Amino acid sequence: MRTPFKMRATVLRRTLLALALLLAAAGGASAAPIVSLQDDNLVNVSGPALEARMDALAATGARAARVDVLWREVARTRPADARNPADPAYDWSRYDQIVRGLTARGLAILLDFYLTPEWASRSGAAAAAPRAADGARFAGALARRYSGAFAAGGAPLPEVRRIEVWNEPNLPGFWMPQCRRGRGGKALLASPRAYAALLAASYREIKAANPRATVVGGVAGPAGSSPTSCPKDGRAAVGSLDFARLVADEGPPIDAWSMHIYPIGSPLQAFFVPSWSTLPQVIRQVDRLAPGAPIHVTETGYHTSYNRFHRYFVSEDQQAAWVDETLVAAARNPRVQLVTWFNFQDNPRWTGGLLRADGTRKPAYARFAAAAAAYPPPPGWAP
Amino acid sequence: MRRRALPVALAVAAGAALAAAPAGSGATRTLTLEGWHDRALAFSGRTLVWTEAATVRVDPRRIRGAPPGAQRFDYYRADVSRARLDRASRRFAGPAETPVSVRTSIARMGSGTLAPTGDGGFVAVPSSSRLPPPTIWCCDDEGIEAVIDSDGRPGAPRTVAATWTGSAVRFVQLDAAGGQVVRLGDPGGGAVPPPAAAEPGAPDLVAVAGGGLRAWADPAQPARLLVARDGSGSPPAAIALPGPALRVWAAPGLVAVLSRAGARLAVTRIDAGAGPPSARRVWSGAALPAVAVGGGTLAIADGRRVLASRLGRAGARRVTTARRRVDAIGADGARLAWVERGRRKGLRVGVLRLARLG
Repeated sequence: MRTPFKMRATVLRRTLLALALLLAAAGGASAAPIVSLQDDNLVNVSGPALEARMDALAATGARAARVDVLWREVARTRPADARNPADPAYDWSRYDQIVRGLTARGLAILLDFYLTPEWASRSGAAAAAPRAADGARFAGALARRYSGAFAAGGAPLPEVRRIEVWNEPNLPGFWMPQCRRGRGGKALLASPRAYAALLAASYREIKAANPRATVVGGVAGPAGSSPTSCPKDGRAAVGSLDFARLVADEGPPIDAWSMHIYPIGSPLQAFFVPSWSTLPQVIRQVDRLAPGAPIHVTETGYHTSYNRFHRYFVSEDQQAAWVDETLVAAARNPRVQLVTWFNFQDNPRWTGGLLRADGTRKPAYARFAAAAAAYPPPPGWAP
Repeated sequence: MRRRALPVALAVAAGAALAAAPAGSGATRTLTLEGWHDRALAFSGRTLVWTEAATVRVDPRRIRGAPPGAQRFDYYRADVSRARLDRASRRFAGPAETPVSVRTSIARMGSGTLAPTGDGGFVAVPSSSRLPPPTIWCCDDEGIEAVIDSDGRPGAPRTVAATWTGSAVRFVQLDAAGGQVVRLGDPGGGAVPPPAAAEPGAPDLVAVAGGGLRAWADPAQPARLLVARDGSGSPPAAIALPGPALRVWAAPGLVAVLSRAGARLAVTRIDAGAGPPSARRVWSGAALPAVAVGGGTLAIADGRRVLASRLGRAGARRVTTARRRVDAIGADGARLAWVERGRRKGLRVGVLRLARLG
C-alpha cells in the first residue's frame, strides 16, 4: 500500500517529468519529434480485428504509425507490370484497409517494405537481398498506390507521404549476405553497397510515382560494430555507423535517414553505438548524402522480460520512466523528426510493448500517451 | 508476427566488449576467465558449461569513442558459456562460446541454477532477489536457445529450481504466497501439462533433478529437508539437518544441503536412489564452501581444498589443494572442474581447471 509520502513523491516526480517533456517540446518546434508507434500485429489480422487494433493504436494518442509492408505477401507471384499497383499479381487488400483506417483515425503513416518474394530471391529466402530493380519497382508500385491519386474498390486511397526503403538491411535476419570473405577470411562488407543500389533505384521509382513522397533510407538496425572476419554463410551484422558511412560512400539520394536504437542503459545515459548520444556520429555521415536531412528513429524501446531476440530487459517501471527519457533525448537533437516506439503489444518474440501479451496496460502506456499529447505534430505532418 | 534477427540481441559492440573476455582456445589444461565473478559449473556430455553473473560497470573513461559528457552507469549480466573437452575430460578441446547472455538494468543476478542436458546442452536460471529471472533451455541444432519462461510482470512467479527430464524442462516456481509450483516446459513449444501446486519453498531452498527428484526445505521448518519423487505417489521423506538449511542442490539420485550446524556450517549428502533416502554429514567448516553434485559425486571447495564424496564411499575426501581460493566447482562422476582465483597483469582472473578422481 502506498503511503501519503510515496504518493506525493510519485505525483511530484510525474509533474517534473511532464514539465521536462513540455520544456523539451517548447525548446523549438523543430526539436519536437513526432511521436509514433508501431503495432507489428496489424499485418497479421484483418476485418473487424484489424479495425479494433487500429482503434487501440489511435487511442494511445500516437501521431503517426509505422507499418511493415511485406513484399513477399503482397506479391506472391511475379507481376507482369511490377510498377503498376493494379497488376493482378499484387494483393494489397490488407494494406488498403490499414492505410484507410489509420488515415481516418488521424494518424500519419510511414510505410516500410521488406521480405523478398521467392520469385525475386536468389536463394528463395525472404532475407535474401533482392535485385535492386525488382525492389525498386515494388517501391514504385507502393508509392503509386498510396499517392492519393489511385482508387481501389471505387474509392480513392489516401496518400502516404513517407516510405522507408527496407528494414534493418545491416542485419542478417533481413538482408543476406552481409559480408563476403576476403583474403584470409577477412570480412568485406557487402550489404551497404547492395542496399545503396536498392535505395537509389527505389528513390527514382518512388519520386516518379509521387514527387511529394519522402524517401527514407538507412533503416539501420541496432548493431554496434562490424565483423572483422566473415562467416562462410555471410551471416554477420554490419555496425549501424559503418553502414551509414559505407552507404554514404555510394551516394544514393535520400530525403531522410532512419535508424533503430535499443540502448543498453537509460536513454540519457547510454552511449554505446547506436544510442541517442551517438546520433551526431551518424548525422555526420547522413550529411554527406543530404546535408540537414532529418533523422527518423523508426524503432526504439525497452523490453520488460528476456527473449532470445533481445536479451537486454528492464522492469516495467524502468520502461515507463524511459519512455519519457526517450522523448527528452530525441528532443535534444533538432535533427530528430520522428520517434517510433516499437512495439504496441508484447508477443513471445518481442516484449517491448506498451501492452502486455494479455492486453493489459504496462505503466509505459500512460507515459507514452502523455508524451504523445505533450508533443504536437509540426505543420505538414497531420494526414 | 514479426521475425527479429538474432544478432540484434548482441549487436551492441561496446556491450559485447564489456562482457566477459572470451576464454582461450585450443587443447589446454586451463581456461582463463575475466574477474572473480559468481559462477556455477556443470558437465554436459563432453562439454563443460558455466554460468557467470556480474555487474557491468560502464565507464566512459575506459571506452574509446565515448561521447563527451557521458556518465558512468551499471547494468547486470548472467552469461552461460561452454567449452568442449577432450575424451578424458582432462583438457579443453576447443574455444569457449557463450550461447546465452541475459542482460538487465533491474538488479544484480547470481549464477543460479545450471542443469546439464547432455551433449553440451543445459537449462539455466539466473538467480535474483529482485526480478523473476528467465528459464532458458539451450540449444537446438542451430545453437538457438528456447526461453521456457520469462515474465516481467510485477510479482510474477520466480523460478528457483530447474532440471531436464530428457524431453522437457521441469522447473519449480514460487508463487506470490511462497508456494512451490512445479511446471513442465517444452523447448519445442508443445503442449505441457498444467502446473502442479505443491509445498512452501524459498529461493536457494528448492532443487530438482531427473527422475522426478525434488528436495526442499520449508522456510517455516528450515532444519528439515524434504525429499520427494514427484509422480511416485509416495509422501516426501523428511531428513533432519544439523541446523537451518541455506542452500540445496540436486542431481539424479543425489541431494546436497548446506546448513548451519551450531556456529559452523555443514554439508549433508542425501542419497536418494531407488530406496529410502539416506543422509550423512560429509563436511563441516566455518566459511561458505562451493558445492556441486553430479553423476553420484558431491564436490566441495573449501578455500583452496577440493574435496569429493562419491557414491557408496565414506565422507568427503581431499582431491587436491588448489593454488588459490576456489570460487566455483562442478562435478560429474569422476570428473571435476573448478575455478580458482588468479591474477594476470594485475587484473583479477578466474582459472578454470579440470581433474579426475582416482
